[in-house]
Order: sequence, then structure tokens, then C-alpha cells
Amino acid sequence: MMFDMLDISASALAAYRVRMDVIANNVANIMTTRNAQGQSIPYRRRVALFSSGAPGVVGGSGVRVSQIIEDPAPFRKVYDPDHPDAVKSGPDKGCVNYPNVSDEVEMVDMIAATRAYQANVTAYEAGKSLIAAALRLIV
Amino acid sequence: MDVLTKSLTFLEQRHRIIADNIANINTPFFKAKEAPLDEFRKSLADALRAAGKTGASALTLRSTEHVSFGPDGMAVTPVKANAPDAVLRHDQNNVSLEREMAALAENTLLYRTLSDLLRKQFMMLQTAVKERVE
Repeated sequence: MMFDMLDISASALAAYRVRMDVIANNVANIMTTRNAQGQSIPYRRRVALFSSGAPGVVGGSGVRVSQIIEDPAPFRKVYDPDHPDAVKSGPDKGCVNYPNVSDEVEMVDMIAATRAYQANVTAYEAGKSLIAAALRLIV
Repeated sequence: MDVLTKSLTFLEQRHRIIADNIANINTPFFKAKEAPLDEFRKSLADALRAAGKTGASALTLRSTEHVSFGPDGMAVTPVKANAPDAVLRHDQNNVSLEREMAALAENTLLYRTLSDLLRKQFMMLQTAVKERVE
């Protein structure tokens, strides 16, 4: 079936949408020092891992997000003893642990994801024009 | 007419391979793939030569290593693209976006040209059937 060739590019669009969502979530939580339960555990940067072959696409083509992992890099430490989430004891006393998210890295990733998304939109449009050309055979 | 339909089927498969490369532009360890264009070209040329000798109108294409012709149509197995390893990329991926976009544009134009030719042939048949020129 000819129409399923669009699935390859569509799977990539979906995957890059997820990657974009993960980046947006990282930027949104750049100052988050507590988790959803209100505990003093800072947000950890998340990364979407891609692997080839999307479910439902013939021939093992396409791409999918296989996993969203947490970045194990250390947190940013900022000295702010009056902050309610400041470390109470130990060598880091008075420091606040901020998420290991960096503006610059997220921005660069965002641009890369946008460009890749655009490339796949172009491939999708090309696939559409192939189908349209084939359908024009019915005169 | 058979040449055009066979070529269109091959180009459709080629589009899938290019789209797959573009989809996997950021997938770690992914290696660029390519449609076996030379193999298809050779088997098409051989079939045309054989048809020219016997005068048969339908083409019988012989299956090659990566392009097989069976009762359920043509199956194309992608081959590893002859792309240099991208030394600047840490993820071992060697897809070149520029190369793939160029291939995509070329493939689309080729497909449209061949389908236009096929459409013209159908219109000629229609003219013959109607016995008058419109």
C-alpha cells in the first residue's frame, strides 16, 4: 500500500514532538527544587532516547522514542542559606541544589529538534506529492 | 508502459528509504541506507534488451541480490550507503541531511516526470479508444 510510506515521516514527527516536549519540560523546570510530592529533591534534566524502527511501520523503518532517561549530571549549587531548600548540614551547608538543566544546552537541542522536524515535514510533503502524482493517473 | 510502472514502483520504495534516513537523522548508531539503483537499472536494461529480441510487450525483470520480483510485486532491500563516517559526530550516525534532501528532491521530480509520462500514455490510449482528438 502506497499510503503507508507517509508513516515513516509521521513516526519521526511524533518522535521529535516528544523530544520537543521533553526540552520544554526541562526549561520549564529550570528552577524547580522540589519534586511533585513536595520533597526537597530537585528536578533532574530528562533526555529522550531515539531508536530506529517505529511500531506499526512496515519494514522496520521510522523512528521511535525508546526511553526518556534522567541525566545523572550533578546539580547546580547556589549559595543561598535563607532558601527553605538549602542544605542543612555537611560540606554543602547553605547551598541550594538547583536542577542540572542548562539554558544553552536546551536551546541548542531545541533548534536541532526544530530543524529535524522541518526536514521530516519536507519528506512528508514529498511523499504526499508522490501519492498525488500517482492518483493523477486516474484521468 | 511496463518500464514506467516498474520504475515508479522502484522510486516509491526509494522514497521510503530516504524518508527512513531523514527520520533517523538523530538516532545513535544509525547508518545511512540507499536504494540499489544500479542493480535495478541493470535488471531493467536486461529485460528491455530481452523484450526487444522476442518482441514481447510485457517485461520480465530478473531478481537481483537486493531487488526481487515476485507475485506480490517488487521488494527492495536497502543497501548500506557509500557515505563516509562522520568523524565530527559522537553518536556514530553518518546520515548527511544535505545528501538526503537532495536525494529526496531528485526522487520526487523523477517520480512526477515518470507519472506524467504514464498519464500521457493513458491519454493516448483514451484518444485511440474514442477515435477522436479532443
